[in-house]
Amino acid sequence: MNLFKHPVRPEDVGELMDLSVENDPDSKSMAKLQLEGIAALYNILCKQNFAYLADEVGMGKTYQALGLAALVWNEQPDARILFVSPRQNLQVKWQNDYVRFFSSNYRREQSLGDDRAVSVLLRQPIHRPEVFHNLRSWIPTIGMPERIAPFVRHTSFTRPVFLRPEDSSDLARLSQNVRSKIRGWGLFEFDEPSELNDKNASLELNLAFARSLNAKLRNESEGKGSFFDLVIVDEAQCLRNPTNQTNRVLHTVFESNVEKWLFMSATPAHSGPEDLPTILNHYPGEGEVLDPKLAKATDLGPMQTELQRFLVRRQRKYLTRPKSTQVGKDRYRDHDKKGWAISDHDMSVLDTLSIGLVQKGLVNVLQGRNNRYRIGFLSSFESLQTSLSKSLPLSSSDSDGQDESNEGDWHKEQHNPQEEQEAPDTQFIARLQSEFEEEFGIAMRHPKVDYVADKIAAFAFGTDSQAGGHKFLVFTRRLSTVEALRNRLSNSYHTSIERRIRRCWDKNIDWSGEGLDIEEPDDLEDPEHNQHETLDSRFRQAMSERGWLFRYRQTFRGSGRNTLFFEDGWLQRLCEAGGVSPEDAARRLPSELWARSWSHASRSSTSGGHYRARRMRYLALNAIRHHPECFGLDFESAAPWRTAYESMLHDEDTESYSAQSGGDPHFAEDLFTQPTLWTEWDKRFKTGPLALPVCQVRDHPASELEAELCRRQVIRVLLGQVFRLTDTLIDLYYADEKVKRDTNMLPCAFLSWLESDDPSASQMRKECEAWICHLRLILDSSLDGAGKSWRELARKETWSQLNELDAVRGVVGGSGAHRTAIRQFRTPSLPRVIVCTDTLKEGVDLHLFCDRVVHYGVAWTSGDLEQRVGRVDRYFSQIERRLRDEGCPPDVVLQVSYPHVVASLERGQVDRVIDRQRRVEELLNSPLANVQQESKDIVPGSVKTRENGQQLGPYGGIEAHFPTKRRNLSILSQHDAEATESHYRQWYDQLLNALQEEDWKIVGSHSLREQVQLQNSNSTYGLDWKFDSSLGRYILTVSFLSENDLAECLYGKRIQTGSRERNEPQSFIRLLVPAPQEDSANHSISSLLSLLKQRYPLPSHEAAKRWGRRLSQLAKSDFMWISEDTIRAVVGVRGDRQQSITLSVYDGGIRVTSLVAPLNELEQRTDWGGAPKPQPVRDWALQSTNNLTLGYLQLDQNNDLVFGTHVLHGELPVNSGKKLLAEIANRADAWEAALTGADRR
Amino acid sequence: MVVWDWEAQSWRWWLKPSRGQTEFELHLPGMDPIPIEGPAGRMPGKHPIKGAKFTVFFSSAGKRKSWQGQVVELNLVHSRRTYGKPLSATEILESWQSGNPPGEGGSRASNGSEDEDDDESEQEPPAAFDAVNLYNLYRSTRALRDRLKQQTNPSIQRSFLVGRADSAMSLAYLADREQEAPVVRYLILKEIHSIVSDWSCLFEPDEFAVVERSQEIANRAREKVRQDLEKELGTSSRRSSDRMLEWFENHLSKLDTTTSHESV
Repeated sequence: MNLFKHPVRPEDVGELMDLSVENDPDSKSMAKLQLEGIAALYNILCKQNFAYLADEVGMGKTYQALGLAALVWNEQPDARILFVSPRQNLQVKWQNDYVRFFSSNYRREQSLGDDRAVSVLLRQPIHRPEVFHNLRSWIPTIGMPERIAPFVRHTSFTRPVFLRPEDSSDLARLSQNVRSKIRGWGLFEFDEPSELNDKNASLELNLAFARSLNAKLRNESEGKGSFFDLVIVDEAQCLRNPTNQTNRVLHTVFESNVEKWLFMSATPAHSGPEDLPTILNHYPGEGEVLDPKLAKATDLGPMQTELQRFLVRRQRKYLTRPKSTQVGKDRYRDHDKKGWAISDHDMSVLDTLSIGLVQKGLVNVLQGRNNRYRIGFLSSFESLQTSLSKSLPLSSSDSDGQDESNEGDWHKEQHNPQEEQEAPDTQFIARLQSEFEEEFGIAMRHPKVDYVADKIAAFAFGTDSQAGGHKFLVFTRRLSTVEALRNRLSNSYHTSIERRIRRCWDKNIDWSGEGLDIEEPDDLEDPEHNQHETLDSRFRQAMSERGWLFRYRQTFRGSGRNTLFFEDGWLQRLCEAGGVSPEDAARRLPSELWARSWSHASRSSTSGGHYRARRMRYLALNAIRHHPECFGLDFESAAPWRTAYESMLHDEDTESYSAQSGGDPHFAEDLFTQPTLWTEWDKRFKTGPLALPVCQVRDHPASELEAELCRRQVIRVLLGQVFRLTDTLIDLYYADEKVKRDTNMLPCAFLSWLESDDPSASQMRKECEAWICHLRLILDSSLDGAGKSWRELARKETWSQLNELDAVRGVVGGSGAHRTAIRQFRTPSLPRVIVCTDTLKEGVDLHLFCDRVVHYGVAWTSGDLEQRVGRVDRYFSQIERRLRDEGCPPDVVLQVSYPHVVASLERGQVDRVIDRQRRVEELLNSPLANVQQESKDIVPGSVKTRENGQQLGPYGGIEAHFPTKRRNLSILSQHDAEATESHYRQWYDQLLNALQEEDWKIVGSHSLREQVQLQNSNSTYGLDWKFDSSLGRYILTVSFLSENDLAECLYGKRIQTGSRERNEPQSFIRLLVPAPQEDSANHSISSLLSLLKQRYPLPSHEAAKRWGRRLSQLAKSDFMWISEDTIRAVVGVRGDRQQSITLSVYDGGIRVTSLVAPLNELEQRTDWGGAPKPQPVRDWALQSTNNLTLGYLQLDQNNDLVFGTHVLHGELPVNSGKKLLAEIANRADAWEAALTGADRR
Repeated sequence: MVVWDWEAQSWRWWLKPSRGQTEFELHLPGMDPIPIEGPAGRMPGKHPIKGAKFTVFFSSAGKRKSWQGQVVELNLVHSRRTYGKPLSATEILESWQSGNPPGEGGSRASNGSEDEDDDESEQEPPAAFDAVNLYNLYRSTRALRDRLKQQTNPSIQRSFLVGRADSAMSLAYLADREQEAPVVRYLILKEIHSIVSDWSCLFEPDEFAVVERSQEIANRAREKVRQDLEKELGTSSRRSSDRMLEWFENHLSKLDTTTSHESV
């Protein structure tokens, strides 16, 4: 066991992972920094049981933590690692980054996994990432053999056991109920609280739960010192109050159960230097590792020296060109106060009167509070709309834990949580507003809302003389402000469209579309149609199913007249490649292919319409496959085109249509000649930033052709979708009107607008440039493209992530429905503005195309403000690119704005906040810079004191953590990985061939990484590969997708559930795929084919004879034949525990089962509604089986719950077989412990 | 002695000639020479600059001679002049809050030189109403009210309202001279008038014109605001702008009588 035994150098880590961005040499320096961080953290953990990663915001801390996890799993593949993050949105971000890291960065150089951290065949992480919304749902996974990477959230520890106030009326009963409840969750030890009263009931009972969970973890620690090898806590400053309920519960759960801790935070001394000793002396359980007195000393130098033993901190700097110097944020951030100051001149009479009245009221309000207020917490600084707690009709459908607090005490101050819930002036403002509305029927105005909305709109949506296109991230403190700003910005967006249409097309938009003559669309499914329509804007209404823009959009689909508009010139490009004229090529194509294309296009239509686009695609695909000579291409030169077209046009990949009788409609030369958007695009943008890949077909090197064609397809599809789903569709409409609906002229008309001098066209050109230039970055970061080849990506006809594009998005509450908005914000297109509360201040990356942050409502501390700006100030951000490509500060800056009314109390707050921010940025690289008790309160009129101007020496010394010599990690070579892949690939090809020979149709890619479908006239099955890491084996699951039942529970069964009913397989066969040297006779394939024909295997004496000797070897000496086809053996599991194993022999293979427990020994469980009864347990078993990689759970005819698996051949080598038996026994034992409370220690 | 009477807006003089002096002629700033015929005289005119001097020419022993003297200002309560170092609006408000008389606190005046004072003239005093922070205005007026309540000496109380460089009326005159930021000016003038009228008991009957003047200035500013509001509301009806302005005025006034506890 090498884990945390031998230190590594960054170069060693670099053998395992590459953290740079593909094809971006500029990212190498950042990647090097991250590798150093990973090596340093690992080495720190070799010496002690905790490390602290405190790099600045945006330095890739998450990736470093994931790199550390990968290194740990490389050392010890079954290591247990837990990820704790503060909130749901961060959990989700971690999960996404996790998937991206293991698909794109881990073993990038070897291009195949290693079956340690990533499976060789599937390129999936061995430890499946799983987000848990509460602790209850996490408990059942503890001790189970399935390897997972659990992501839990800090707030789940607040009240894992939810008590209602009325519960405390009968405390004895309450305690009993809680005991029973947590027993039902699978925790069997309950340490009754000694003194329970109605005040402490919630705390004490939650601590009792924590002790039970702690005991469960110890029970499952398999004799090791601790259950977890590593716990990673993101935003570890959340642990700084160890006495609050959340952290007491968390500490109790993990006490003595964690081998190593990694704490992460960009602001480790969030509330002051004492945060560090508080956390480090408490959670790791090592006693006093950092003297608390150091944190109280005037000179923090000694503390800083101490921290360098275990804390890694680096400062982010960007490179500028052409001077090639590094600049820090003190230089490139522009804290803009003046530009966003609302002076008397900017305010109307009514605005000023309102502000005046409010200011006078504030004097009274604050006088009652010693003339003191908390930074950012006065309602009147934001808007004069009503209360802070108002819920919004925004996309706030967050489904955080049902019985757990959404926020926990994460945001609340400990000393007076009540005070924080309502701003001091809220009631006063609400009363004023209500009286004013009652009197005049209109709302009292706040000049800031309008001013900020106007200012943002000018830059985001453009004006008559200035292009827009800038993205803004706007933070507010109040929910109602989000709504107010969003509404105004939305109006400005519509106004900007109206003005543009007047300028460019000389038309006035009638948003209702009344009187417009637009064709009725085909009745066909529209994958780009909004599933969850929000009709809160004129544009949205026009795009809705009843709207005119929706109808117009349909002209580009199906049998619409513009159906070819967004198509590539599939046939024209082949003609260009081979140097043949389109007319010649059209004539050369066999008549039979023309005819089949007609049939294909006609039959594809549900309404019998003739889809020219589909016809063109079909022709192109089949012509390049079978008749490349028609285009002047030979088989070899056609190969890249063929491969690319097979990916891009896979929907047309069917040749089963027979040709209809001939006739005129068959020949359609215009499919070779009709201009499309992209053929015209290539003519206009031959070079430069708007040129698409393979623009010049004949000049393109053949070696890169296929990938480039696929890349072109991805760009085309994405840009096409942006044009169709944003307000650009309106330009298309008026361009269409202008050319009187001549489909041949539309591309020219549209592109003429795009090339025009109008600011809107200039904006759109920039947007297109950004898509083309940063495509890979966008795909990887925002569109789930990480790790996918261009060929895989080119298969997508539509990107659902780009549906429902809105110019302005309001984000409040948890993540939930905002994920789409956040992804979309990371593209060059809409949305242009996100208005949010502090819900997005952490853990969300919004940096790719945004370098403007507006603190509409400021946060309490510099740390929080820093976190907000950190959303856009990160590596690979727009500001980094601009500094690199466009120039130095002050010409290029990241704009941080503080809008405020000059004539109001807020002015003083802004001065103070900016002053603090600037000082933080000036300070050195230390984690302790400027942390000494930053006051959150402001006393208006008081003399400003310089808050903590201590200068600390340079912080660094990361090299001190590296050994002098390199260490060789266990790294599977590319050669060995390819050999493994080759074996399974061959077996799979044999299987697919055999299936095809038996008239099964294989639909989809033959890749092992993607599910394929098997179809025959009666049935449809899905084929799905998985890797079982404990067993070290690949498993193939054949899911039955139609209503017929298969093989009953012998092979497992899935249950139809809820809304996924249509796609949820009902039953399946799990097949242990033969490893090298196994199943030489391919018995597994023939057995599977039999099963698919519903020929179920029977117990077999013959098979027992054939495989009996080998099976008895598996069971060692401790076995007995209990019948002529069944062996029973006893297998030792953990400690002195044993499991009984039954091997049954069939003519189709062997079945291995082990008893979990008789029904009557199972504990009560929430999952089956209390005490165990046969049917609920049976249902639960089937449902649980659904989540397994290997085997199934089943309640047999004796009402015994068993765990087992089926092997479709009997030629398991002895070692593999023994391992299988041991695994089955071990898993049955784990289930027994989980379901009966058996002690596994 | 030559006196400028602010209340009467006129010059007054008293002459006590020595033996052998005749043909007196009084030269006042900005006025034509005035032949003096009696021991006392009075003449309306334009108020002199601060620190103005007068000259008396006379004949004595057949020769024309002259002597100079300082003009004395009378009934300063009616003066619109700032005595002491001229302060900006913000400085006046700061002084109300800090309680430091002008020149003693951190105000701009304390940093100025004596020369500045010597150079004082009738030019526009420094004032920057864009920078008037409304929160500071109301906090300062509250402080001023408190100080008026705490002070028991009527002459000092009255000096808070008139005469001093940081008096309420100094700010009112400053605001009245400005053209910019009409609403802010109105809010200031309204506050000042409210204070002055609340403390009108400090003024003798002959000084009561101060209260009226504060009202007059405030009313002028109000009318400008009302007209602007009318335009802004897009109504031709004077009633609606009046109604809305009154609503704000009532609520602003209510806050003067509301304790902090009640207001929250």
